Amino acid sequence: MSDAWSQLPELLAAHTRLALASLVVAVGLGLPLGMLAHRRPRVGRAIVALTSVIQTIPALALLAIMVPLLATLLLPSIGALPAFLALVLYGLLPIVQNTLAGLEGVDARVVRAARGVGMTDRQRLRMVELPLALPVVMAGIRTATVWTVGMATLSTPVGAPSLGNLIFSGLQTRNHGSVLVGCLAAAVLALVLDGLLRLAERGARPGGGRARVVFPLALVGAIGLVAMTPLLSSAARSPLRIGAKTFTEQYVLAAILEDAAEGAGADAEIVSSLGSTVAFDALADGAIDLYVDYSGTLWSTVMERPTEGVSRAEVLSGTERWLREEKGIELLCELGFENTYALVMRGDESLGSIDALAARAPELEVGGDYEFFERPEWRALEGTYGLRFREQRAMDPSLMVEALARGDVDVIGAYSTDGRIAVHGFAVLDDPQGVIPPYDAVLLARPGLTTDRPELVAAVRERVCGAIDAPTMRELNRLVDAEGRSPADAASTFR
Amino acid sequence: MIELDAVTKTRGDHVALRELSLEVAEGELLALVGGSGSGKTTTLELVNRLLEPDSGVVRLGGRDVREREPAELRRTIGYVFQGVGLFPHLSVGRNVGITCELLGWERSRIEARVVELLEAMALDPELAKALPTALSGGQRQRVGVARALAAEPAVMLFDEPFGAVDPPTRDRLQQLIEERKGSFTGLFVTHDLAEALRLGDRVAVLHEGELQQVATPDELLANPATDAVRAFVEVGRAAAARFGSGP
Repeated sequence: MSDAWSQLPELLAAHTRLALASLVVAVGLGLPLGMLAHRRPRVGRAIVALTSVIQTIPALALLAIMVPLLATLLLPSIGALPAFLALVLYGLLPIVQNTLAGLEGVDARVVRAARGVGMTDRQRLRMVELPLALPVVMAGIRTATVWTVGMATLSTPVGAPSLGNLIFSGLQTRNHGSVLVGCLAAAVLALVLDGLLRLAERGARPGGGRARVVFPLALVGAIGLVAMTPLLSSAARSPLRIGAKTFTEQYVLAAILEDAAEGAGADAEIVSSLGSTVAFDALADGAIDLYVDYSGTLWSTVMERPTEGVSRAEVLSGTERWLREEKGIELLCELGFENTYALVMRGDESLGSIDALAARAPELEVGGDYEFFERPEWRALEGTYGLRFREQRAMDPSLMVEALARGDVDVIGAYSTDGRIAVHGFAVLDDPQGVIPPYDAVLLARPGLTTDRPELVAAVRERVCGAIDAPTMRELNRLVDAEGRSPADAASTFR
Repeated sequence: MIELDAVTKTRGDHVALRELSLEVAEGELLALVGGSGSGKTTTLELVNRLLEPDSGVVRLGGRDVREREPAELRRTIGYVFQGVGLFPHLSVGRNVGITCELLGWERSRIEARVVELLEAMALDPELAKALPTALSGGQRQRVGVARALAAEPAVMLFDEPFGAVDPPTRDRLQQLIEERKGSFTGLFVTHDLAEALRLGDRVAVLHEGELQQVATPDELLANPATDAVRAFVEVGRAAAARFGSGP
């Protein structure tokens, strides 16, 4: 909880920056589009249809789509840009639709009078139609504001820091206080901005007076300026950016790396809760400097190689060479433990091996994280052992262990280093055919990092390479997952 | 001054006006009467280019209106709208001075003109600061007339301006127009025969888009040219007899 509070100012500022910038651009685009839609009904229908279609895309998917889209266009695909673009697109619909509805709702007799007294089309729009449509237009802008502030929490997995960091990492590490702080801060921000816009709209009504419009808008501007200040002050130095994917082990490892970098006198910051492939793309782009990945994941998901019948050493050396030659990414070292996907059952009901499981599978339910059932390893398991379950459920990794413990599912695809496996007395099933590839935890550095900051890389290597064995990692994970300590706190026990 | 030459206008597949030819002399006020759908309002809208004719020509002062920019043309023509059409978000003063504002008059000149007009319309000049919603129906209609007169137009168009006000107010409003007759050339649309006879130098009767007769009030009553005119006059007389006013 105290950890969440200490991160709050920085994340709130980043969140506000992102939401306000997106909103300003969405208003800047949405108003003219709404006016165009009013003037040209045929174009208008197309515009409204398009913005509606964008709205039907789930918010998280829209954000995720931006990453490969921007990469194709050779633009920075990780961080603020994809989040910003997705938020702008998402905010357009209520603004366009309400601008159109507001203009169409203006009394036809008043419009006729405006033409009759000699206003040009533009004068009519500016002096009569827009002022009369304003309450409806502002309602649209306020809707967009609340949506944008809410949806900005989802920009965390594409690498844009936001209040979502508190929510995503809090959910993952079962830190409910952190989730609550993140949600409350987002809600308060949305309510404050919405309230100020409502005041401005009230002030703009006839007889309101200029100050009652300008003052609330100036406050919105001031909030934006305050949110900008950390950006200005930190622009000079460039901290080492350490990536973390969306599970406990990754948060702990990132905290250890941060600790090591700071021990060597460098500034470091953690870019947390990145989607699995987002983290890799971010490293290849140089958007982050360092992170820990797993050889098997790289081998099967990124390199798309078959997993059956390859040895641990082959995977490791093949991955190292491919990363260096294809991406310029340096595989610095192995950390000293494996984290493989493993099929796990309750200890008292364990069938021992996946072979034995295959016979009983049609009576059982299996749970896995969001990507588990899409991964090549899962398809290989299904193919080799002929696994067919009664039902398979994708769920959040943080909930999976509880689901198994409660008996909601019978088997889960878990990480072998998950500290909770031992806590709950779960059993890891053997993989006699060797289908699941070895997942050595490896430390990756972005292209050019070793050349740019050799001492720093050396210091980090010194600290972590070969230094973390499986029991150590399991214990660190357990501190977070079972004892509710923060990743930074757990990392500090590692010396 | 105002001249319609064989003007035809269709709206959808309905002929709103057929081959209408009509002239209003300088300083004359021509009353345009007829039932609903007779084409009265369409005629007005053709004069200030709120509508364009399918065929035929509309001239003002001998010049084809199509030679002029619509917005610029409309600033030279006063228009009193059916149902008033005041701008609800602008003060009474700005409503009255709006055409002057569009013409780029200086602020002090507009303010003086607004006060002058409000006084002429027997309204308190203090009302200039109020919003139209604060006014009664009769007051709003006077503001509508003041707005049309503000930029001193040579041509005035009235579209059933007093249809929705009570009889005493209506009488005073008609009187205000009567007092100003001769200072502009105008078309006055109404479905009320008594009003047409009182205000019009001549009266034109339209029926289903066709001009029936153009005549002075006396002549119209004495010699209705067609059945449609006769029927209109009879209905008007009967109404006048019932309410004890009019001819």
